[in-house]
This record gives sequence, structure tokens and C-alpha cells, in this order.
Amino acid sequence: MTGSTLMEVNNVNVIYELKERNIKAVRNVSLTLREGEIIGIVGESGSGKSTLAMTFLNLVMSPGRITNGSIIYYGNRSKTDVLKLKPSDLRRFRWKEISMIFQGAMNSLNPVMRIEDQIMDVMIEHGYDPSDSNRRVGELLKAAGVSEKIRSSYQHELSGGMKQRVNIAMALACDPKILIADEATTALDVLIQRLILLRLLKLKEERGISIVFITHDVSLVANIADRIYVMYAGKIVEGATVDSLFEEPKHPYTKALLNSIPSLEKGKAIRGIPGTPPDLSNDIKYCPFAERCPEVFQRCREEEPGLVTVGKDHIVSCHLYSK
Amino acid sequence: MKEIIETRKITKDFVTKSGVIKRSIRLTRALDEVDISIHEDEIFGLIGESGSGKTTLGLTLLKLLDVNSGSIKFMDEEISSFYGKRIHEFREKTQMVFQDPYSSLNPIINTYKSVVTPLKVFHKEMSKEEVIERVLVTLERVGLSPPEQFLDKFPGQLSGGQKQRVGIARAIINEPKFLVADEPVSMLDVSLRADILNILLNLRNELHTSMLFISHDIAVTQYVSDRIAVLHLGQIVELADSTLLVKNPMHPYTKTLIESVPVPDPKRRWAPEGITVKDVEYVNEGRNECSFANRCPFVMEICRKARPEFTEVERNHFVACYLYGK
Repeated sequence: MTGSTLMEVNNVNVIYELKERNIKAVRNVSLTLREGEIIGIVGESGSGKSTLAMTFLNLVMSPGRITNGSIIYYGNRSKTDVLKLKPSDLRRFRWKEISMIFQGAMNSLNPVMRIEDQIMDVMIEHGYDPSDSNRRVGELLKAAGVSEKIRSSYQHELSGGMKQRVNIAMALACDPKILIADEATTALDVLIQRLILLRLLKLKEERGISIVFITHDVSLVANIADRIYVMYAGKIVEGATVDSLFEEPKHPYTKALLNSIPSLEKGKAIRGIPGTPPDLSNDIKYCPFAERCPEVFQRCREEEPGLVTVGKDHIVSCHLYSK
Repeated sequence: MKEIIETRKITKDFVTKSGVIKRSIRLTRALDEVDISIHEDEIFGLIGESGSGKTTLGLTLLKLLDVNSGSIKFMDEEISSFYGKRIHEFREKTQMVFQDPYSSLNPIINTYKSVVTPLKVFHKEMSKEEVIERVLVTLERVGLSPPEQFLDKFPGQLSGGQKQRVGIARAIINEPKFLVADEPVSMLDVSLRADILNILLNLRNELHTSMLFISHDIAVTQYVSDRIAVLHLGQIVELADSTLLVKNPMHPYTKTLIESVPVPDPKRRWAPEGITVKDVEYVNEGRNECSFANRCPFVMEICRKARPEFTEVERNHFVACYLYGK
């Protein structure tokens, strides 16, 4: 089962500095990832989930800027603050300790390099012996669930699902302890999606790898995650174990999100969530969900709720539960 | 029940040319003898994975793509015989909603112009007041309300869900008889999908528009459709009432599709094993075996010898598979 804390995110804030306004994309986010655990981060587009994922590897690019917070990594027997690493150390840190499968991974392979060369590139850069890494390519592809035969192919010769599995193989190249998957299956159809998610689960079982799975699709995280964080307007509004989140969702946003999924059980009418998220360039001094919330009351428009604990491993940011 | 559109054995090949000095031509069969019929007032779901030919079928029904052989009848008229003015009339009655609202709207054309253009093309006689009235009613119908606020908005000022509503509005402003909705919600957030699906259901109830609803997501398809057909490598392998198909899927391919739908309930996770299928293999010309034979876990000798017939196994439930043959 899950072990000790592997990564700790404390009060991370990211703003995008544009000409006329600053957008606060991630606001005071704290979360923990334990050893051998899969956490899901769920939210609508624009909720800041991809930006948050980028901070784990200190990959936020201009005009984005991480204004404060820390990301403590406990993987190599000492505490490392990812946000304070020197560029040269950061280079060694990425892929080796934490690696990432990017959104739109379909387009993230180099079209003029053979698959094996791309994967070897990563390993050689991180100090693996070239002949050793050549041998490893086959194992990695097999671990990711594709045939070794494709090692000398180019990316355009592969289907979308195969490309995605090559990306997984590459992310595993240096035996990282954490794998971040940002909308890793969004562009794929259901058959391939299931294949890839089951593969990720297997990697967790076999290698004890921890996974951060970011998606807008709640039903996916129900299938693979141990714990779930729900993001809304740059904040975490609810966090819980997967069972407790689906059994007893607390935040009205989480409830609405669960009500909007079409399921195979007929007869259940589904409802969208009316309204749109607030403009993050303004200072939001109230509950960001207030405008769309069916259970809104006066206090919601006056002060912003903080996270409170409502059960074992269950936190929520809502005035209905704060005293 | 009257049929709005009916196909007989339609086949479509795509030609791929390659080689500079030595020219070689390859045919890829996208549709292989497809028979479907869509009733008046019906939402007909079409599911299959990417590359199965779903979009090709949608395009051929609208005569946006011509077939190589077979016939397509729209309200009892052969559409391949349409030309000139008849095509123009056909276009008024049939429309399409595209998959990606982010790229199917012109970024420099505002909502009003986007929506009014099809109306102006087909109804030159309408007065200005009538035109504006019609646009407002249509925007209201797709849930863009108050409509006045959206008229001068450009796509860049609209959210993804609002863009797709504009895409639907311009498709329905002429109150078409038949609409092809090609993965209309796959690019949208889960929380926005529900509203778009409900809009499509209302259109059918209010305007009596028949629809071909294309999707790879069986849960979404079942929510809106009356009947569902399953397409695999250009062939229809199963067809049934949508509840029947989900409750009692027969073809091994349909079973796999349904089993792969993630259920939003942590107590019912996927079994790690279960039916798994191999990656798809494309073939270049019509073949004389079951199209699923190479991927099927239950493959038998007979599957590779001849193509299974499409038979009615129970009432309103058709399947092309030897497991159910008599």
C-alpha cells in the first residue's frame, strides 16, 4: 500500500504576467503525494491543473511565474526543493526523479528521429552507458505495452495510442519515482484509453512508481486513483480518498461535476453546470464558485473559505462546512 | 415509420499515392457495404474507434463526399442524381455540426454573421426584421441567452461550450430535416457536455430533426440515441435499440467497447484482465473474412473463410458474428 510522503507541495502560486493584467492561475495550492500512490487532479479547462503540473518540474515558462511556495521532494534520501534547484541540477533532476507525459503527447515526438534514438537520447543525457541504453529501449517499450519491433520506426508510422505508449516508455527511461500524466489519454478513443490506464496501474504495482494523473474526466480517476484533488479557479476545493469523494462529495462543485457525467445506466438525466468560472485576473476575495453554486448564501460572497478537514483524509473549502 | 435517409451497400475507397519515380497507388477501404436507415424523428447513434470510418459515413450521407458504389436515398430520392439546383435544395435540408468548435468557427466573423449566413443563402426573400427575429430565436434555442448579448461576440470571446452552441445554431437556423453531429462534445469538458446533449434532444423534440450522432463514447451516444450502430473497419457489426445494445451487447467488439467505458464509481473499476484487443490492422481492399477476426479473442476457423451475415438475433437486434449464427 501507500507509504511515506514522497512529494509535498506547499502554498504554490503561479501568475501569468500579461501586458494589461495578471492572471492568477494557481492560488495557494498544497498537496501531498505518497510513495506508490496514484493521485488524480480533476478540474475544468482553465482551472489551473496543467499549470500546477508544470510547477512540479519547475517548467513554468514566461509569461508565467511561480511567485511563492515550495515543492519538497523526498525521493533521494534528502529534502530537495524543486523550485530552488540550480539549472544544471534541475536538468539532472527531470526525467531521473520526476518525469512527465505531456498533454498532446501525440505531437511531442520528434518527427525526424527514430523512436529508439529519442529514448536513448534521454538515457545518455542522464549518464547511462550507450550500449546499455540501447538494450534498455526494448525493455522499456515492452513495459509500456508496445511491441519492440517499432523501435526503429518514425512517429508518423505509429497510431495515436502507440505514440502515447512510446511517450510512457520514454518517461520511464531513467527509472523515475514520480510520473506526471497530464491529460495523457484525452485524444484517444476508449479502447486505447483503457489499455493505457491499465498499463499505468501495472507500472504502479510492479515498480512502485507514484503517479499524478491530471484530467477533466472524473470517471477516469475513479478507475485508477487512490486519492483525488478537485481544482476550481486555481484552487483546490476538495481533496479526499477516491471512495470517500464518490460516496460523500462535500463541495457543491464536486457534486455538480459528478452529476454531469453521462453513465451507461439509462434514465438518469444529466445536468451541466450553469455559468462560467470567474475571471482570474481580478482579486477574488470571495468563494470562486459562489456565482454558480445552488447552495450559495451571504457569507460566500463576503469571504473566501479556507480548507477544513471534514473526515479522514477529506478536506474541503466551502462555508457550508467551515465554522 | 418513414425513412429520412437510407443507404444500400455503400462503399468508399480512399486512394493514397506514393513514390516519386515509381508511382504506386494504394486503396484504403473506409466504408465497406454499409446499410443503414434513419427514421424520421430519430437520433441514430454511430460508434466506433478512430479510423473506423464514422466521419466518412457522415460526410457521404450529406453528399460532401461521393461514394464509389452503392446508393443513398434522402426522402426516397437518390442523392447521387442531384446536381445544380437540387444540391442547393438538399443543402438547406441537411446540415452538419463539427467536432472541434475551436477550429470550425472563423475567428474574424462574429456570432451574428456566422449564424445568419446560411439563412441569407437560402432565404433571400426574408425581411430584415424576420431575419433578426429568426437569429434571436435560434440563439435562444441553443441556450445562448440573452441572445442580444452574443450577437457581436467573436469566437475568441466565447468559451468552448458557447462556441459549440454557435456551431449548432448555424446548422439549425434553416430547420434542417437531417443533421449529422460528428463528435459534437468530444472536445468539450465533461461538465459542459450535458447541456449540449440536452440541446440536441430538444431540437429533435421541437424541430423534428433526425440526426446521425457520431461518437466514440458509448455512454454519451446512449444518452441521446434511439438506436445505435457499431462500425468496425468500415463495416457495421451490430445494430440495436440503444438500451438493448448496452444491456445485451453481442458482438465481441461491442462488448470490448462497452467494457472500456470508465464508470464513475470506484467500486466498479476495470478488471485488469478482461477482454483486450490487439491494435487495429488496416487492409487495403475488401476482404472475405470477418473484419474483426484478427483482433477477436473468440476467433474460429469459419471467421476467416467468409464474411458473417448481418442477422436479426433478437427483435430489433442485428449482429454480424458467427458466434450467433444459426
